[in-house]
Amino acid sequence: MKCEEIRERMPDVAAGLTRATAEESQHLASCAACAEQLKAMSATMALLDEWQTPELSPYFDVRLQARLREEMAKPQAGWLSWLRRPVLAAALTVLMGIGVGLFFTHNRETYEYPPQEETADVAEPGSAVSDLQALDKNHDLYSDFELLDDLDLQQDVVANP
Amino acid sequence: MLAIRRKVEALPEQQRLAVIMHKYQQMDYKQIAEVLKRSESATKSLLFRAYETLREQLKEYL
Repeated sequence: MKCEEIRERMPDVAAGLTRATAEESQHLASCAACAEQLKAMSATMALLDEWQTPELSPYFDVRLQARLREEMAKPQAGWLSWLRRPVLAAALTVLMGIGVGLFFTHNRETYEYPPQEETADVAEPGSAVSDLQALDKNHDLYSDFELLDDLDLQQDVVANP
Repeated sequence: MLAIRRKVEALPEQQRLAVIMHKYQQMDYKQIAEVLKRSESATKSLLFRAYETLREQLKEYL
């Protein structure tokens, strides 16, 4: 057995957690360095035994459960409690002001530019469409012409019965 | 006793954890290796070095 092999188990052997095997005991008997090292480590372990890590109180779990029950039994704060905080109320006021300002700014923009009236397309002069548009525009004038034609016809009838 | 506690607490973190788990929690190498995320062989070397460091630190009390 090599020294490196026994060193791996030395903490367990020194702490008394396990016994040295026959092979290990044989090596310790023949190797003074390893024997000295094991002896020093055992003394260190004995010194470490003087410091006991604090153990939890047996009532720790009971007290923890009682504290948890107390916290759960407390009445929960309603949503209005958030508004009582001054910083949150101020922030909400600012947000509302920004929202109202944006609303009125948007409406004013749309009011300043009302929709324009639609203009009729003017057709090219000489085309059928332009003739019809001229008739529409001068309807009253043409209706007077028709009246004149009726007047001429009546005179002819009277002259030539 | 306070001096012993301070010497243990003064160890590098990995060595301190290994010593506390091995000496005071009686955990085996495999369990310590899992906690420290090391191989078992590396854990054994770590523990050996930790106890050697403590031996030097506590020499005056031996």
